[in-house]
Amino acid sequence: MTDAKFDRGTVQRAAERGHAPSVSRRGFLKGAAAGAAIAAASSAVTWRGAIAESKKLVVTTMPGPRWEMALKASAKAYMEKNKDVSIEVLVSPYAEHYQRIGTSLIEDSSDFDAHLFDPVLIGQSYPKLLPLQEHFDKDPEWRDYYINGVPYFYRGSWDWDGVPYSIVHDANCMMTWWRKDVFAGAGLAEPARFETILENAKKLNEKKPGAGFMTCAARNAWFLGMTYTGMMWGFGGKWYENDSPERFGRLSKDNPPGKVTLDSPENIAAMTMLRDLSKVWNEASLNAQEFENAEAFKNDVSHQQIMWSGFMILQNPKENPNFHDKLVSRDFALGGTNNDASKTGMKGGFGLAIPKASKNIDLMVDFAKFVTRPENAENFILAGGQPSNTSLLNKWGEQPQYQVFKSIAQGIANGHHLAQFAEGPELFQLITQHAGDVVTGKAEPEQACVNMKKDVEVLLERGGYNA
Amino acid sequence: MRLRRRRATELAAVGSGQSRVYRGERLAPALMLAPSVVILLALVIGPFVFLIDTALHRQNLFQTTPPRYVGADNFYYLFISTKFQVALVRMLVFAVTALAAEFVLGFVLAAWVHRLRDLPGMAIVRTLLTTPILVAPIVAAVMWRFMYQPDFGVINYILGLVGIPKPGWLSDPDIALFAIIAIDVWQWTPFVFLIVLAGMYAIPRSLYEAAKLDGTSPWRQITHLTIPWFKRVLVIVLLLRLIDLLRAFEVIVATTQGGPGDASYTLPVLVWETAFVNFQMGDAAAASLVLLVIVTIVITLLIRAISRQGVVGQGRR
Repeated sequence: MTDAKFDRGTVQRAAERGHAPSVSRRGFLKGAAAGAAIAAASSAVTWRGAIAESKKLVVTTMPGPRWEMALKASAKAYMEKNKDVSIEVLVSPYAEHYQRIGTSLIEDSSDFDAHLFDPVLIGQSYPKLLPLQEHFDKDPEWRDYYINGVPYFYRGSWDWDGVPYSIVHDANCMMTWWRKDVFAGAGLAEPARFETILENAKKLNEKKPGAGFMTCAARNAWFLGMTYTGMMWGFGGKWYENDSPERFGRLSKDNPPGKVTLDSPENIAAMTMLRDLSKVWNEASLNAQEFENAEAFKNDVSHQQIMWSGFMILQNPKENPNFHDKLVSRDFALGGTNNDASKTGMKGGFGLAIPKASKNIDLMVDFAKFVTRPENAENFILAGGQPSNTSLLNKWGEQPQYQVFKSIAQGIANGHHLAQFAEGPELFQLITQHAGDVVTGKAEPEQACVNMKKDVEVLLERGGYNA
Repeated sequence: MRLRRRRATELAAVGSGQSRVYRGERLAPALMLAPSVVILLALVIGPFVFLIDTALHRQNLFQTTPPRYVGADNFYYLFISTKFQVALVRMLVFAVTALAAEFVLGFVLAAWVHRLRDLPGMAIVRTLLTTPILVAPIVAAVMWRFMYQPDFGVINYILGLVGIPKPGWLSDPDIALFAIIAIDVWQWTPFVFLIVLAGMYAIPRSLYEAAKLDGTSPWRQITHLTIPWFKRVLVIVLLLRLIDLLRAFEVIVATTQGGPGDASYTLPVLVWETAFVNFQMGDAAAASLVLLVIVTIVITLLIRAISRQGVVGQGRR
């Protein structure tokens, strides 16, 4: 059989004749291969041409106003200023976002120009990330604005060996919230200490059952573990001897934890306070997620809470029409023997990390800087973002509907860090578990602290930190 | 006769030097089975071997060092941990309670619908009763989480209207597990109902008519006619539901994640939490192997016990 020409005409003629074209296997393969090669070459040319023309950035993030919406608003503003740039914001839920970071950084991650980055991932990822100091130094004006505005004990969480690997994107921390009209009416004191919170809770409950105190104490997202850690820090306690702000919650064989101190008097005092609060709190606390705490304020169910700062929407008239001007926040409370207001609460937040393999490093650095600049603040904040720069936070905090920003500015400097080592999530899980034993009445505070200490010692020993 | 002739042909072929044909015939079944074997290796045996290997290593997704071989350490720490013991007990309580409730309710509903089958509109009743199965489990769990919310959930709202105290359905450690069981019962009783009803329809009407003529009470009709007639169907439903309940996961994670405290913390939740919250893959692999062994043992014992009763395996009714 001879090779036949495999073109549209052949097919059409064959169709007209009512039977298939006479094509040999070799002829078909040759034709298909040639077609595929031409198609691939032309699409590659088109694609590269498009990239070269449009300077496309791909940034990954998680959903939610603080991240997705703030980034998208910033991207829109940046693209309006730079018509030749296009920015794609890829959104995935928490676990998928972390998987995307993990799997992309196993290889060169060249498909992405920046990831919204949790500082707990820096230790395993920094070799694949772009060191940013040189880029900071190229723009001294922005560098000074950034360095002076974002507290060291916050932005340092995204450093490794003193080298920054992210530009801090947003700010988040735990804080105290209350209804100032109810407090004024009942003559209650500002909840600056946990002892006051407890007293207030009892008095508020007498007026309206369940309104006295509420918090996030669910197993979800280690809410209870985070709340306890904030309280422990506010009572002057520590996880272990070397748990200090300048270590950013990092552990390694060269940076061991020292003796575990989870059964110290300060820790027991914090756990006892948690137990006492659990006896008067709104019972929804034990399974509450952030939106439920917010709804409790919006619907006049709760009048005093310890919560994360994602509640900024509660001071917005559109989001909370009835009580927006009656809700007020302050930095997390102190307790026990601690009077040092610079060590209290718990902080979180995310940065923008650029993979070394990004094809658009300079452009991406420029966009990341733009996100944090004062000129973008309105876009960023109105979309739901919480900026990391204290100058912005304090300035916007002058407006009643952004009063919470002033508390964030304090909280990100004072709050306890996350656990930035491989076993960190399990540490929070253990704390959540033992604090859970206390608030459900399974264990007394002293016993729970001793059990927690033992479990954490085993964890650190198995992790090889020579605890 | 035909077989003997074929065998003779084969032997003749071999004898006459046509062994290639014979080998081809022998090879054909192996080749036909090969895709299934490859798929089995890739999707079941391979991952299982990988699971065992992972269970023998200290492996954390956040760590910067390679996994470290630790022998049976992961199993040792699992067995001595109180949360494993708690999880085991909670899993059994969850499975047994939900199974009993689903069976009783499913059977009662099926018997009721079967008895009233000739009434008009029963097709609609049947359809309505089975709709919960159509809801995705995760959606059902989230929906119930909202309904259970103590302050603004619809259930407590209704209780408040009639002056009944409002419990913290998912935040009270004494009732949280049972509130989750109620969700599972709501969703899966219709499955039991449907299968049992199908079994009841398979029983000849004449038997019931004869029983009625003999003056047999409805209860005796169920115990002496319905149940013995379709024991096998019941056993299959029992096994399917038990397997499902022992590995129940989404309904718990979407409502309480095992809380409050550890009030609804079961073994599948422990596996999930260890792997995808703590990122301790070695520990999670060890826990999931233990879960696999427990489920296998429970199911095997159940099948054996039932076989002795002559319900399965013996071909007797």
